[in-house]
Amino acid sequence: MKMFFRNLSFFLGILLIPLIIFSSYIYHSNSKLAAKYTIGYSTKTIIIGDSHTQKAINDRYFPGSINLSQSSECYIYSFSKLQEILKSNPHVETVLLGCSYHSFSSYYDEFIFGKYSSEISSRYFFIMPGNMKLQFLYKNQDHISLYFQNIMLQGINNMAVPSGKYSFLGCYETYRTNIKLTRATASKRVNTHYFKNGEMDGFSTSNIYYLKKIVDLCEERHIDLFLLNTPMHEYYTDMVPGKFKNKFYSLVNSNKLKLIEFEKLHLADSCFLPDGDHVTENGARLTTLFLVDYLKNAKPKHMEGAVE
Amino acid sequence: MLFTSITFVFFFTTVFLLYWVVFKRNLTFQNRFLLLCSYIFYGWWDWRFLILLFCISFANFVIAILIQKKEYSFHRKLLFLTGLIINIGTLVFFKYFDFFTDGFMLLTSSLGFTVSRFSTGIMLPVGISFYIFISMSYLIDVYQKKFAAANNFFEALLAFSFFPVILAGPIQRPISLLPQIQKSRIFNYGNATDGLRQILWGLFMKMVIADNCVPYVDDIFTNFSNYEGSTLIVGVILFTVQIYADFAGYSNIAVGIGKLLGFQLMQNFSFPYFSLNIKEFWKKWNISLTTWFRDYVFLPIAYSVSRKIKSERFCLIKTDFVIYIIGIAITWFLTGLWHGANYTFIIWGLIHGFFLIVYHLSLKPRRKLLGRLNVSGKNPVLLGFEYLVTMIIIMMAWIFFRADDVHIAIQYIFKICSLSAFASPITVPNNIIILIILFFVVEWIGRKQEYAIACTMAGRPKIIRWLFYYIIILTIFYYSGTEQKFIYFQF
Repeated sequence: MKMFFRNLSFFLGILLIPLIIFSSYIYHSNSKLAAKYTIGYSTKTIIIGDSHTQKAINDRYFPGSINLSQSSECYIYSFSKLQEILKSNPHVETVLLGCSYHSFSSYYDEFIFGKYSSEISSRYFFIMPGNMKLQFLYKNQDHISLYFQNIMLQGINNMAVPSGKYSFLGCYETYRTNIKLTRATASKRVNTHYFKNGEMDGFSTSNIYYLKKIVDLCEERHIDLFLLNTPMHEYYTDMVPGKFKNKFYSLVNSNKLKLIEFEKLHLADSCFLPDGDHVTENGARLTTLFLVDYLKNAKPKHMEGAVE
Repeated sequence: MLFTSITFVFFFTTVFLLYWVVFKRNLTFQNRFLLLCSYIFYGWWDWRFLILLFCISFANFVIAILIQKKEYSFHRKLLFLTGLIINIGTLVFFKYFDFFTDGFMLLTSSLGFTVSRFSTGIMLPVGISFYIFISMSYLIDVYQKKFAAANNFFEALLAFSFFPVILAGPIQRPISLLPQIQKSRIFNYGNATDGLRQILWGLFMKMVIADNCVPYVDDIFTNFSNYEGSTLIVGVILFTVQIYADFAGYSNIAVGIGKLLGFQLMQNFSFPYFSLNIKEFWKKWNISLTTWFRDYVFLPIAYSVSRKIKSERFCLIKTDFVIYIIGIAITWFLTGLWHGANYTFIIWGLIHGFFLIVYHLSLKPRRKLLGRLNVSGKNPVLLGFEYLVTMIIIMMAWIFFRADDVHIAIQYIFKICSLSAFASPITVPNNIIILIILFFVVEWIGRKQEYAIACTMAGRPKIIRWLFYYIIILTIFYYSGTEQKFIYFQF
């Protein structure tokens, strides 16, 4: 039996020791990346959120800003991301946070510990606090090798790409399609956001909790926080269950948050992607210009004279 | 706790160390420890079903002892029948109650009566078909005096609930497991390394081959109406690969774990997809189940029918054939039903039964025809043709096995038979195709062994052997898909 244990240890050692060393190196290198990430001193506004802000705000038309939004980004990830970015970039004065009716649907919880956790949480793994890392590993234990692979691939990728392309960051991104927006395509999206197996979703306690944490973080650092409810087509908004709209406005009011909505921006149908809750390239241009104009009128100190 | 989960790795490592290091000197402790582990393993799914497992085991243990003690055949028979009713009744209640109720309702409504639907709403206990069959074989063997009933309650309990086999087989009959439980076990280096190798191959089959087929198979079978016939052919081919890699992979892991604990469990698969005819296929597929049905269903039926038909011919057909047809039809009806409470499984079983009968009836005409044509039975073209026919039958039957209902299966087959079968199918990534081809190449090379890589590296230098195992491990690590439950857990 001794020989069995000795040979087995030796066999596993050859496999595991290099793997542990390599993983530790990736982990160690990636843990420092967020702290090293700096944005230009002239960039005073950062835009954070999910695919809504990612597709709606083109920072090319918004001088002094950077869009770091990423699809499926829950507030738990936004909070960690913001915390890290603000540490290394104390000059940031304004945060525009994407927030809409769907932000408080429990559908978002699937991206934290649910079925999409492996894909989404691995992007942010290195910037999450230690206890959260353990929780992610535990919750993904059913496909741990796949999860570990995802984390390592993100880590290797982070080390190979320029600083602005790290997996936990994001940027303005869109796509083109020939598919037209219809009530049916919008309805499909509404179903994804607010219903599961034909039953209406509950609220995402995690997103509600971390929204408050983001608010507190911004207050603590004297940063102007605006919520952006980016344009959505009426096909989509008409179908959003009232419960989520009410929750959205009650959270905005109870936290006394500054909300920017785009109801005065009348976008043509062609400015929307087929799902009805994202805008096209042209829609993003118009939305961004509207936003810039709005903020100029709202006059936060650093915004004065920003738009030419 | 799946065999492929991290939880199981920790569980089994602990079991293995305690079993061989702490309890190695005392067989009683070893057995009780294994029993405790088996109950923990089974209870991990749903602890409530432990009560059922315990009650079934207890009932079989007591009845077997009573059968052994009784001298009069009437008393023995009465006890035996009681045992069978308990076992079959439990299985029917948990697995088939809703199915039979629905069938009864369909019948009554077609006769013009209205009966309100009644459903138990009880969840199917995982592995129930397996441990009930293990228990039944124990009872039958004791009744037939093939071996003595266990006197030790804990040993009997362990034989009914041994954790490597309780969830999805192999159906390890107590007649072969109990003597191993009763005998002291000594750690054997060769067996242990062989067990590890077999587990490794089982993990590769399950995590790399089967799990990577799942997304395509699920998508194609769910949305079959949106796909061309050619894609449906890809779907059924992938399912053919998936179910083999899944189930044989599970069996390999189970047998490997058995070897690590000093047990010799039965081989459940013997490269069935290299069979040249349907009979050969069933000698190699799910061997523990087919032999169970052969010994406890087919042979008793054949014996009973042969006693009733005395003449040489029955309705102008040779009595041998009649016996075979009746035996096969009932056996395969039950085999199908065993797999699940759905008509699809029954049809799947009957398709196999039908082609087994066809094969049996065609043996003589085939020999005569080949003799007239002066073609050898080992002619490669003939063998290739027979292999193709066998695989088509197997795959056609798998469509029923996989489809949600009979109607879907028929539509699926019709679509395959349409002109759209010649359209270009969906693309399966090259790396998956290459892995599947490589897998079957390795299986072909190792087809004469217990499992594909049993002796492939035997006699080669350690560095080459280890390199081979590292490649398998890294392939598992790199290509493992999202964890999927083993298909046979639902049975």
